[in-house]
Amino acid sequence: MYVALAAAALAFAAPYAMGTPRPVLVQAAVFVSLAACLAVHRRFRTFVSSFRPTQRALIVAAPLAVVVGHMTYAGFPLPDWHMFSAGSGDDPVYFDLNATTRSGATIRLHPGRAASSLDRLRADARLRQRLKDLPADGSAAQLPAWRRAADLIQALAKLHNQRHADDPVVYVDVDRCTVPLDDYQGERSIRRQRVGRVEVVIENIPARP
Amino acid sequence: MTMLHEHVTWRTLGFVRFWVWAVWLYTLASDPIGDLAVLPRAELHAVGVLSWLPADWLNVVYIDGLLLGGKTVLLLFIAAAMIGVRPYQTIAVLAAIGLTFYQGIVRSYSYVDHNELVLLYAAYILAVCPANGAIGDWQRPPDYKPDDRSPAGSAALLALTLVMLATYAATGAYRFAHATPGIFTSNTVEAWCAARAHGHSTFGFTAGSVLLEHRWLIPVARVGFALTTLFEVLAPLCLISRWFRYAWLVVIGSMHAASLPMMNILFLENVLLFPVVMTDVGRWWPRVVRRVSRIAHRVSPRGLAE
Repeated sequence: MYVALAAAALAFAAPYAMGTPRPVLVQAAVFVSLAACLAVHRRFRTFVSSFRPTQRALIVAAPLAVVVGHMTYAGFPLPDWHMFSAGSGDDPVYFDLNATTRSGATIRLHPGRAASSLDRLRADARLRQRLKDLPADGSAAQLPAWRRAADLIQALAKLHNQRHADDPVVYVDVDRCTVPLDDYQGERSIRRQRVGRVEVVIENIPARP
Repeated sequence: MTMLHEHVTWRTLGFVRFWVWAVWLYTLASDPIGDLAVLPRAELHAVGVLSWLPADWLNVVYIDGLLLGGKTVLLLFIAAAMIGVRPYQTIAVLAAIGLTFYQGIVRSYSYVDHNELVLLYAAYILAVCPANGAIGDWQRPPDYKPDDRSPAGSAALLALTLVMLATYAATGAYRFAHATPGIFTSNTVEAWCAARAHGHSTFGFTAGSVLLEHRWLIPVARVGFALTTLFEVLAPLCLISRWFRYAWLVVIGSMHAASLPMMNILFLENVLLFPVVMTDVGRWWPRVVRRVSRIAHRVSPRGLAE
C-alpha cells in the first residue's frame, strides 16, 4: 500500500514539478496514480493474474478504451466525460415553448415529451443549440438560423399533434427566459423575452399512440 | 479478504446476462424511435458508425417503417440474448452491434450524451464472454455445474466494473484538472439547478429552485458537489477496499438520487447496473436462488405433503 501511495504521489507531483500544470497532464497523472494503486495491491494483482490471457486482456483493454476515448477520440461510442465541468457564471437561460391550441388553450410544449425518443434533455439540447444565439428583440425571424429553429419546433409540434389530434397546437411562442440568481423571487422574477412565433401547419397525419 | 466478483458462479453470470439484456429490452421497447422520421433532416448530424455512411443512406435509415422494422428485429435479438438462446455469442454480438447503431441513430439528432453508454459496454462485455456459450479461452468445462465457480464470469464482471468505474473516474479527473476550484466556489451549481428546474424536462421536477429560495442550502450543495467529485476521481479504489466501496455507493448513490429532483437528470441505466456491478452479486444471488427454491419447495404439493 505504501508503494502504491508513493507511486500515486509521484505521478501526481510530476506535472506540478514542471511548473504550471497542464490539465491534460493532471488528468493523466490521476489515471496513472489510480492504475498504480490497483497494480501494486497484492490481493488484486493475484486475483487478476489468476485469469487466462484473453480474460486479462479484456480486463485491461475495456477500461483503457474508455479512458483513451475520453482523452483522444471523444466521440460516440467512446465520448469524453466532461459533464458538469463548465459554468459561465452568468444568470442561467432557458427557452420556453408556449403553445396555443385550436381551442385557445395555452400549454407548454416539452421537446423531450413531444419527441419521446429524444427524451431527458436530448431534444431540449438540440433546440437550445438552435436558439441560444438568436436575438430576443423581434428581429430573429429575419435570420436563417431562426428558419432552422422554426423547422425543428414545427416538427416537435407535429409530433405533439399526432398524439393530441383532438386539440392540436396551432402556433408556438418561443421565449428566452433568464433566471436572476442573485435576485430570485420565484417564477415571477424570471425575465422573459419573445424570440419569435412559429405557425404550425396542421396536416391529416395518422395518430400515434 | 476476497475481492469483488471473486466468487461468481455460472448461474450468477447467467443472471447478470439476463439483467443487462432485460434493461436493454425495456429501453428499446419503450422508445418510440419512429418519431425521428418526422424531424428535419437538417438537424441530423451523424455520429459514430453512422457518420461513415453516405448521406443518401442516412435518409433511408430515418424512414419511419425502417426504424420500426429495425427496432423489431433488434428486440428479437435482445430477447434471444437475454434468455441465452444458442449460439449465444453470435446473437449477443449482433445485438450489441445493433444497439450501437440504435444509440447512434438517437444521438445523431441530439448530442453524444452518456445515459446508456455503460449499459452498451456491458452488452459487449457479456457478448464476448460465455454468459451462455463458450469460445476459445473462455471455454466452459464440459462437466460444469451451475453453482461451480466461473473464472470467465469473474473476469467479465471485473471488466464491467472497471469500465463503469473508469467512466466516473474520467468525469471526476476532468473536472478536477480543468475546473477546480472555480467550479465549486462559483455560482455554477445553483445555476445548473435553477436552469434545469425551470427549463423543459421529461420529469418535471422543480426542486432545483429550492437552492435559490433557501440560500443557506447553496454551500451544502457546493460541498456535496466537491465530495462527489472526490469520490468520482477515486472510483477505481472500490475494487481494493470494501469500505470505500460502501462509502462510494452512499455518496454516488445520493448524487444520482438528488440529481433527479434537483436537476431532472436520471442516470437510470447506471443505477440499474449498481446491484450487479457494484455489489458482490456472486454472493447474494445464489442465496436468493436458494431461498426462493426453498420457499417454492415448501409451497409445492410435494413439500406440503412432507
